[in-house]
Amino acid sequence: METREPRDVHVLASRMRQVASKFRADHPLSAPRWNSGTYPLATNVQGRPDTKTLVWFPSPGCFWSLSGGCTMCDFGSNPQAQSVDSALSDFDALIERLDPGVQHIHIAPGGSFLSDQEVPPELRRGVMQRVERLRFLRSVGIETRPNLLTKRKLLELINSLPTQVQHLTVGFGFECLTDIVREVSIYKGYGRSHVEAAIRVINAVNADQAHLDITFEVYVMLKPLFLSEQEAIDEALRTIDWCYAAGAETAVLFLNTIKRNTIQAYMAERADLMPPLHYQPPYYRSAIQVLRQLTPTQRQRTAVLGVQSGVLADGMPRGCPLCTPFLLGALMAHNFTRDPSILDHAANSICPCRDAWLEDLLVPGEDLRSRIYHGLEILEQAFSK
Amino acid sequence: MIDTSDCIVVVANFDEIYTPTISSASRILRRRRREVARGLWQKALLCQDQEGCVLISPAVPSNLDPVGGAWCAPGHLVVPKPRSGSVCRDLVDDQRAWAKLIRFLSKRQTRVRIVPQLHSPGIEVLVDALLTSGIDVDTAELPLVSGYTVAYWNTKVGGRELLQSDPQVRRSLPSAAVCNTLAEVTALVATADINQGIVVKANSSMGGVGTWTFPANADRRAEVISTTISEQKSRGVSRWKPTYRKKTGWETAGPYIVEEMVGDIERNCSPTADFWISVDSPGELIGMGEQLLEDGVAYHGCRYPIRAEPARLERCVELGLLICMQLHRRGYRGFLNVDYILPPDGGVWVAEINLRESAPLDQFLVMRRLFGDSWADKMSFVCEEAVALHGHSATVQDVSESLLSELELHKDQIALPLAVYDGPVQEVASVLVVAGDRMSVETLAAVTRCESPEDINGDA
Repeated sequence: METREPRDVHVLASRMRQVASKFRADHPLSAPRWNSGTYPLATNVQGRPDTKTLVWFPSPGCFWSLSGGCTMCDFGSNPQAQSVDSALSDFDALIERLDPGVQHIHIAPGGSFLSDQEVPPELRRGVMQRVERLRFLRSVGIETRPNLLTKRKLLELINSLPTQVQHLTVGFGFECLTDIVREVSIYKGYGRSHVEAAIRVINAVNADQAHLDITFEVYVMLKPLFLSEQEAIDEALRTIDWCYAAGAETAVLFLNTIKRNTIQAYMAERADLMPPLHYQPPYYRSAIQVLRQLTPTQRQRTAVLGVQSGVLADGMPRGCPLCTPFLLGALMAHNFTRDPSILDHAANSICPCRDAWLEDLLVPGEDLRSRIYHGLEILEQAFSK
Repeated sequence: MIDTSDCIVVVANFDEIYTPTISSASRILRRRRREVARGLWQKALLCQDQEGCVLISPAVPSNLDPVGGAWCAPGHLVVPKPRSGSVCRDLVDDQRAWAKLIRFLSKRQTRVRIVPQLHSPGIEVLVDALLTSGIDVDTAELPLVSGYTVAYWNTKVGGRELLQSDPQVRRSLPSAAVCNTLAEVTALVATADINQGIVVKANSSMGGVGTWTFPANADRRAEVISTTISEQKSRGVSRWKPTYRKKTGWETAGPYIVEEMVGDIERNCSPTADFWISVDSPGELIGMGEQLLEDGVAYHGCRYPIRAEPARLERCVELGLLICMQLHRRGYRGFLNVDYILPPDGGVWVAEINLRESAPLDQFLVMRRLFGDSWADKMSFVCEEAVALHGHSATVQDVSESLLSELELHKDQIALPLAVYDGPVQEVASVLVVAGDRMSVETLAAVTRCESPEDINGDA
């Protein structure tokens, strides 16, 4: 629960900005392992198991991340970004390799699709024109920071989409609802008001045209920096609830992982600190628990991702060799079927690490706010200018 | 429990128990706001003991005078415009009501304590908004876990999971399985050992509504089971039928707990105990009574003392305190209600937990307020829910006199209407019938004349 006035959060966020900026100067983002690529995501469309094809193309990287933003993220940077023609040529080759029967595609170049710096307008148009070759394509998804979404950009995007596309999903990586967690622990750089403004834009565009249906989805982080396991579950629940109340069509819960060259990775290496200051990724069981605590309607519309990625992680969600394959399978099965009995079986499974998970659900000694202060001080000591 | 130097804000938010776990709750609650709100505010006012508190109520209370001095009258009332079905969210969204509250609290310039009927996501929203408005709120007595997790523990599945976390409590739980659909429930009940009675509980059932019993050796053909469940779904439990019929559509939704029936459902004793969990105390017993259950499941009242051996009741308290400990370690603060089953042939079973203000708790709090901390040594009571009131009840005395003749009470018994609700046909009341020694009876007589407890027995 937030326990101080917002201006206090701004002060802390400003301190985190300085830390993050210094950290990024010392730890540049990695070069992308794959300039372009694809992998399938398990999903459920209108009650039936389906797949969504995630694709990306060469881009210079997320500008927010380049400035040190998002303490958990390293989508990589490509300082020698290719020209628009070259990027489109790579994307052409990628599209050629895809199954021509693909119906759902998600375009995620590792940042904001609507950022002109990251994806110039001609590249956006070119990408959209190329997906026209997927003759059975029904839906397209993109991701962007909400403050970059304008009516003009959205209309341009719609106009460049192939005619067979009936549905556009705009994804926002909002991560979590509580301001201090989002602005300090994650250092996200935008808040509820930005998402709400973007929703108004989407609603206005939906009202102006009947060409296709635009919805939005929200990406929710499970276990941001400095949060205990139970706090992480609670934060995910209140964030998902807020998303649906705000009108989101779907929510995606992301199991946090440890990526190289991130503040989170630094805190994960600090074994001299006690958890949760010493960062440990969430347990798979916590993701199962979040799903089980949602209402049936919310659960039906919520997927869990984060383990699959085009960026390799140094630290994966926690589980033991006995439960990890089973729980991962259960989460995948949930994404496909949304059958709650799978989650019951997963939750009731016994393994050696289950007791450790239960122990981690207990209240930590220090309250969250003090812990965030403390964590910030540790980071300032390590990365002061 | 409450530091009286603080400004108390009482929140009649009992309905928020439904909103985090039942998808359609907000819609349903919006529709039946007035009907639900009557009585709720009265119960909310039982939990604090300070005159002049602020009451946040989902509807305008029909009568703010305390019944027989059983609770303190609020000094300030805030009723937000209904929008979401959550009184707290409605309050924060209603600019006029919110400004009224902030003006009042700012003038008081004292720390604010929130006294809700249960911890909910709405309470978190309210507390955040108060803090953002510069109001000094004492959050120490609020849980460290979110209202969503508390709501999960308030479900049958979530509550059972929590109970399993203590080895001693786990051994006192009847065996059970979770089914997500009624088809699975039917299959499980139909194929279970015919000599074993079965109880089926919907995840959000309350007061016995959404609970079905299949006694040993009863007909367990699939069609009979389906009919039993569907008939009870549509009609509710007989005594509560008129009131609860309107709730159908949420309370019987899955998942379901399919549980072995312990003892003899007609002859079991069903104690219920209320505890308070705070920062300083991992568990304090507030009161304990015996539930009056129709068909062994449907709550229609409570009585004290409990008809069971002291040793078994002590075991109930022990188990309750173990549950308190588990909740305290998980950061929960607030009310805990534990229901038990004491079969005729011995043993103590834990039936379920509720993390909210419970109906028996209301009676314990009233008894404590009227007769002091040692009331249990000299008094006995029976509380009947939903007793029909005939005619318009202008005063407590009217109601009491009417009940005296109707309930055929003897001269040492007094009937006190605790909360009055709109029934489907007429007004109904939760009626507390109290008996005790001569001094207590005199106190009660004064109570029905609406004298305040302070006037009656200064130390109450």
